[in-house]
Amino acid sequence: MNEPSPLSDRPLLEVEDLTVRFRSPGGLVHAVSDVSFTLCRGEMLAIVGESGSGKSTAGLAIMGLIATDQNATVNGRIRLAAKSGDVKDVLKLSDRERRRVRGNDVAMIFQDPMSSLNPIYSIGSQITEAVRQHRAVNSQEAVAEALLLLTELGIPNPERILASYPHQLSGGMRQRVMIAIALSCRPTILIADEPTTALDVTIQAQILALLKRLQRENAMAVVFITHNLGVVAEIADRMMVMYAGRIVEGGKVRHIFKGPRMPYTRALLRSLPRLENIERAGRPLEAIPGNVPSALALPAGCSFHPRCEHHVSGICDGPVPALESCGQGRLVRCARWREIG
Amino acid sequence: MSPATPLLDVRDLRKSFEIRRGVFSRPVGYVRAVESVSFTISRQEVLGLAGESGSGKSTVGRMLLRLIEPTSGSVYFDGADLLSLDRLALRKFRRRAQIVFQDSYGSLDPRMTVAEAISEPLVVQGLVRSERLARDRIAALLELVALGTEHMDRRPSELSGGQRQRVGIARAISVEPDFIVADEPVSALDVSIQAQIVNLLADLKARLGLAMLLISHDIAVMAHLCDRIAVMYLGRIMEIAPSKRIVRAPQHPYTVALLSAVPSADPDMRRERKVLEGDVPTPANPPSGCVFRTRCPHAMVDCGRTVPRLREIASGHFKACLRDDIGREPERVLASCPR
Repeated sequence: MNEPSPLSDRPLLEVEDLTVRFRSPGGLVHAVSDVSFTLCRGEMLAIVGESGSGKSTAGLAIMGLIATDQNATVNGRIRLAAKSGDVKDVLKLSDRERRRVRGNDVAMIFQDPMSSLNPIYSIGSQITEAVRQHRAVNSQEAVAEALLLLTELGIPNPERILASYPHQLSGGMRQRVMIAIALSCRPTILIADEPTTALDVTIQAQILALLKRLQRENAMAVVFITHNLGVVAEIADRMMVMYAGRIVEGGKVRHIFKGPRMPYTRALLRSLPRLENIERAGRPLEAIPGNVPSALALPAGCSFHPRCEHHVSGICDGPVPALESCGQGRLVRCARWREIG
Repeated sequence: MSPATPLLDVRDLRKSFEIRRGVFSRPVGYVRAVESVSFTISRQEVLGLAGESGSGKSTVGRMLLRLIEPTSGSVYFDGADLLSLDRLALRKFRRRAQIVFQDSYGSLDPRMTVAEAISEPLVVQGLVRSERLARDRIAALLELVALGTEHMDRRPSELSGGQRQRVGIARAISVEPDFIVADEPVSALDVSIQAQIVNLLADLKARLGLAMLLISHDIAVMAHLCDRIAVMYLGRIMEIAPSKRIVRAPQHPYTVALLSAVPSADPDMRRERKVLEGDVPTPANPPSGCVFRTRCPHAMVDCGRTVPRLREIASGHFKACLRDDIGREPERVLASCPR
């Protein structure tokens, strides 16, 4: 996926061969394997996958929130074009430098805003804390900045929100506050990890519209991590599908939804009940058999092969297939993609 | 009972929870979780209860099984008044009505094996004396939910989410009920597993002739499984109609907004949607009149005056809205869905 976006000259973020392993009592967890991609200014890239696909771990690694220690190994390169103009490798930075990058250049929002906010501090003090962490401003200026942020996000009555505590706000409002904190230092990249999963659909629509507007107006680059294919179709420009720690398909959202190449993506899209197909309700859905493999004991070869209708023994259970380019800037990881068309 | 009698007849069901404060925990107000909800479910019919969090849909489901006692109203199951049943009669009733929960991990005892979990309702109902005597029956149930008998002696922690949900379903159908409440049965599952469980529920409905109340926030899953859908907002039913009509020609502004907010897995359907503004008001202090009016793009002065009653606007299609000029026409909706 090295197709440059028309909006930009060079990528803001280049991830190369990112591999994350965790040691656990059950053995080595293959959380993320050989993930590579680039992200340009103003681009919305979706990472789609089920639980255990490694999508969130990849997001945490880019934020520099997982480092090699006694429990984890992180390998690869995560090169980031900082606002200062330098290109930094997140994995090679000192703790101090990493803290500066975090917030300033990359920020992250999570699924559950309630556990990301501190229940005993007011919203105002939590936003101003983030502002003052990175910028030399006094408390009055920080409050003014917090008000400005909330106003920009289209939050009515921002003064009241600043004086509130997390439990007094609705789920959608808490997520907006998290977005305000994430944006407080005007990062160029936002990593959004299932930001609307805990919200009701009408509130999800509000948050998606907000993220889309921020991406468009501020040319912010967004990595949108989700399991929801509908949300991807709605919001993203490009997407990567992850399965069992690996990228298995990548490309423009429209291309993949119109003609998925990897059997997993195909099967997943076919299995969804769709409102447009209400006339066909009642017929069985085309379910994918079997279960998602455990990251402790991945199947040999292609991790999807035990569930794949196209698998051929001797080919699919051999070496792990390479992520191949298949035209239109698309990538697919399947030993048989040419045959199965 | 004549076959025309609905299996379940719910009339004017209400539930308010007291809000208690202070040392003497005096009631200081009420959360009106469910307000005058009425509907029927026929034999072998699947009714969907749609709505966002706080709409009261789970409370309704639990009241139908008397897991929560209603504040007022009545529930007739096969003609019998459910709310007047004593403990013994209630236990008998539970043989005919069961529940499947969202969180199969939380609803199965971690120390029980699959066989023990499935046979527990049978033992409680006195249908078998012990789990050991029911092995054949358990094996048949496992086959019905497409789980191998090798799982019989495993514990929930050794199963995947989809397998655990199959155990939860096998447990519910073990006593051969007529009616099941399925409360968000696929919401906690991975996308690639959801279709398996949706198919299993459809299959069981066809094979066992089960009637079901399917509670879900996922309208696409619901439209696939249900004969009719009732849409709830803030404790009240806003609209109720056959699934196809709800999806193709919704008539209540809330249903229209809810359907429009569902992201479609088709980038060609991407459109500037009308995003509903604001949040759901608190059920402790709901708006006067129509509870949806504070977010409704079509609200008028009259909407605040009276609570609109659920009225029939076409055969089998009911809505609780004063206005008649805002529903979506079926033709227009179809035209915007390219095949």
